[in-house]
Amino acid sequence: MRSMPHALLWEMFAGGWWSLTGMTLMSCLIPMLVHAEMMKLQVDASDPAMVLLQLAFIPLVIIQAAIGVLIAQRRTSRLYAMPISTHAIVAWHTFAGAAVLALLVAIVSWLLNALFGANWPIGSTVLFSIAVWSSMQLLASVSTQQSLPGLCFAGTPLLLLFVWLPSRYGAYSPPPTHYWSGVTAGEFVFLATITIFCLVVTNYSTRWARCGERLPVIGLWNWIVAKRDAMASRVEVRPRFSSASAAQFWSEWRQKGLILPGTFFVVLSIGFLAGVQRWVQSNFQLAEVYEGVFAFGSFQLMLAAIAGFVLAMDFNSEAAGQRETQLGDSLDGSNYEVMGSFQASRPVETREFAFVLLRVAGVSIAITWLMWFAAACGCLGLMWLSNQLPSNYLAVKQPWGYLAIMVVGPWTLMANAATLGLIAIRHKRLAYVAVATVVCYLVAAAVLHDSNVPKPIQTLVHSVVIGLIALAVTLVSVWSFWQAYRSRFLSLRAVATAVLVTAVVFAIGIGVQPAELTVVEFLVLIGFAVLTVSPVASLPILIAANRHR
Amino acid sequence: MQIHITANEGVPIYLQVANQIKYLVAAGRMVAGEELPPIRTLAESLMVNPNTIARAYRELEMAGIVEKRRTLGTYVSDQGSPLARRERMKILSDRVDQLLAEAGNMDVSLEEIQKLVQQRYSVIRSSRSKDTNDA
Amino acid sequence: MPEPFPSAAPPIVEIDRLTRQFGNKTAIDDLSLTIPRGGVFGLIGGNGAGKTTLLRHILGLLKAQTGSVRVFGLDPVACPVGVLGRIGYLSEDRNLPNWMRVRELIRYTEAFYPAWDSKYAEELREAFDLDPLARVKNLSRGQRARAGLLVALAHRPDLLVLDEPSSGLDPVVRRDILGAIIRTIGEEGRTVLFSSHLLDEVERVADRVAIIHKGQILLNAAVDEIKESHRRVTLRFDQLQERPPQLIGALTQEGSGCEWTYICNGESEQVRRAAQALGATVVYDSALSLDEIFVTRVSQ
Repeated sequence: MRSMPHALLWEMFAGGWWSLTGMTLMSCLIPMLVHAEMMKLQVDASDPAMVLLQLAFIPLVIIQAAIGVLIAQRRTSRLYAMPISTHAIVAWHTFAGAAVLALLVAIVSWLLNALFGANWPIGSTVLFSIAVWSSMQLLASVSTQQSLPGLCFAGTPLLLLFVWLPSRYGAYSPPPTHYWSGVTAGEFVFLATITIFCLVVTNYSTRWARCGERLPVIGLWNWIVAKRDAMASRVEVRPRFSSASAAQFWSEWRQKGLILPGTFFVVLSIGFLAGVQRWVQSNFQLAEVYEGVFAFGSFQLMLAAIAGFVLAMDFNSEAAGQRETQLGDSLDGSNYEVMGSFQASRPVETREFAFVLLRVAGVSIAITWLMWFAAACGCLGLMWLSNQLPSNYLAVKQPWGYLAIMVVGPWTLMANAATLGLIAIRHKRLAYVAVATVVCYLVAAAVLHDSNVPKPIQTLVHSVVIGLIALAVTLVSVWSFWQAYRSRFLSLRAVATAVLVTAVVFAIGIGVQPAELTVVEFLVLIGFAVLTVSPVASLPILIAANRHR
Repeated sequence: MQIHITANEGVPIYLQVANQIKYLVAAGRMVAGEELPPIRTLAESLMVNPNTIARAYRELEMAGIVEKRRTLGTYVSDQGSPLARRERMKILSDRVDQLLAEAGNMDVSLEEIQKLVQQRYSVIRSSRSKDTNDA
Repeated sequence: MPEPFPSAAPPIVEIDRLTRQFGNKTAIDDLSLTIPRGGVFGLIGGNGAGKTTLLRHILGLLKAQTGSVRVFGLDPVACPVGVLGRIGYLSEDRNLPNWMRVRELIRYTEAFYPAWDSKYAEELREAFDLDPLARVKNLSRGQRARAGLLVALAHRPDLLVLDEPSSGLDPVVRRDILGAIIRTIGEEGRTVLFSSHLLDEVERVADRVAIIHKGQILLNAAVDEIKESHRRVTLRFDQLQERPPQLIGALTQEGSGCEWTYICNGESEQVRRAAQALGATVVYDSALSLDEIFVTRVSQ
């Protein structure tokens, strides 16, 4: 390795190939799932819905793949002490990363086109991804300064790109009408300008960071924060905690509690604005606002899943883990502990840790749901005042089912995401393998779809797979309840309650979907019902495994 | 009371403490009836284990240099006692042994050493009397 | 010599044939160790010798793969509350919740220990000059160690476990830490277990040390005993010796010709007799520092 680009590329692939492949697989997972579903429904690329989907998936794929490249590249700060100019650091980081990202995005687009007949424009997607990469580099370099206005400033190019993208699909007056097939000179100039602008600013911010200086605007902000902090904290004296679990709840809530309500608030505001826009367009029909707010409630599901992953982490352990491996005294292979030694050495039962996490999840879901409910009620109130009450209060096809899912769904997703997160952080490779398996299954399904195998047999294969998964989920949950009971994480009463709750959810499920159930549907329903309670058992087991490694 | 400990040296710390107290007593910088600091105080100020100080005090007590007065503390004992005198002679004979061994290695005879001792004694005495005159 | 430890009291830590592997590396290799109640127990070993791994087993942060660990007669993995509630722990990386303020950290930690002494905590905070409003992440290295020490001490734990407490710290903070150790065992029946590779510190404060190397205990004895039983002697032989004659108890030897220097295990008198048996005279005989003993033992 004679040259720096050589060394950087080697480092990226040697040290980060798991994250590169893992995140790329992860990025094509959801598009593939959806495309596979669309294929089953016989929807092809000419359908306007597919244009909309592509518009949603392109940022998703690019950002996930870019995160994979960022992880593989590691922080620029590791090069600060080396005899390299800042220009060179920034340039090589950006160029090497952009090349790899472009390659990954091209592969994903090609795969989707080849397997599912999606109409992904490879050239323009790749160009767009390079601009996104450059703006993400800017964001990453400023994020080391840990300040909100800095991040807002650095996030602007990225935001601009994602606001600009829909216009290529003719999407400002919904719905989007056409694909972004070719890149015009104007588009090229726009993307190139953003890329170069980001490169230049990254260079400046890296130069500042390299000599430990702060961006001027950030210094001012920090000063304000420090003043405000000092004033607030001189007044506030925290009363004693009544118990260890109260203290633990306070700690977890302060760190993770507001993630779900906070992000949902942002999403709901966007929904509200979208509703207002349509309200203006539709001659001031308040029902449009109401529907916007109501429909955006389903974002709770996605956000809850993301918040669940975050819930599982101990934010104090990452830095500690890195330091530990540097010291060389730790032979522990993972440099990313799920539970730092401070947390793990608190004298509390492991089940308390688990229940505190579940309580945090429950409270933040309740707040989120109430926020949504209040917004919907507010809209209804306005409609009542202006005498525009809708004929159908619940603006979806199966209103009661939708409401039920909005109550149970976020909980199930968040708690199970926490469980999966605990496994994934500890066994990263297992997580990648799991994602890879799903992707392989989807590819196989697509190939099967295009083959001559008769449809009934295809359906049978898929039902068997899904049925087996549901069965496995049920069995693993039952096993974890048994383990939790044996390890005294759960009392017999708690287990009985869990069984009761499962039965109730199952009964509601049957009530909502009163049609005749096939065996597979029956299994899936049981699996879903079990998942609502299984974190109660699996979380303490997994936390114990991370605490006493 | 001034004691200086150097860890990371051959001599065990309890011996360093005990020896230095012996010298303080022998040099008259601690007199009979003077109280030694409590074990915990000395341990904290020297940053050594209290058990080490306790052991040093025990050694000193066995050598008759200090005595424990129940609950009151540890005091320098009466120097007139034959045990203390014997102890002092023991310290000195250790030193003389070392001197003789060195002399043997350097091929210096006993007569020369005796002469040297005489000579040094008069030098020290004269300089001391000069000091007191100056004062 | 009177035993510094009341041998009648049950030991505070009992480790029996513990083995721990990380992947294919063996961190702890069939190790047995008993730590008596009272006094200061020093664990010394080089980087990667297994000190941290051993301490983490005692806290139950690692589960015994084979063998058993008992602390206060309990399994630390099975009953974390019973064991951890009586332990104060300062980890090597001083892992603390970064986002908390010092005052919040104290309040938070207080909730976990029924025996927490608020007055003592406040005294320590003032003695350590910790700003109650400062955020933990903004503390300097030394202040961070002091904050960690405060929350490890304020419930007056029966067992204080310090993992490399002074590594990377300035002498003033090191003094605070040593002072805390000394004050802790000043109170009856309390035990300090600390790992270090600053051997002069260990020599100052430890009653008993164990040398750990490659996951095994090489030596486990009282500090004075170790120092008395290791000597450096130089022997003079009448004839030129091609290679060093075997001296009983010798750990290392170097030299040439008629004079050979040994580091050996044994009392001065024993060595003298062994030398006589070889037909040599002892021309130099001195005690060793713990440092030298450690290097000799480990490099064997």
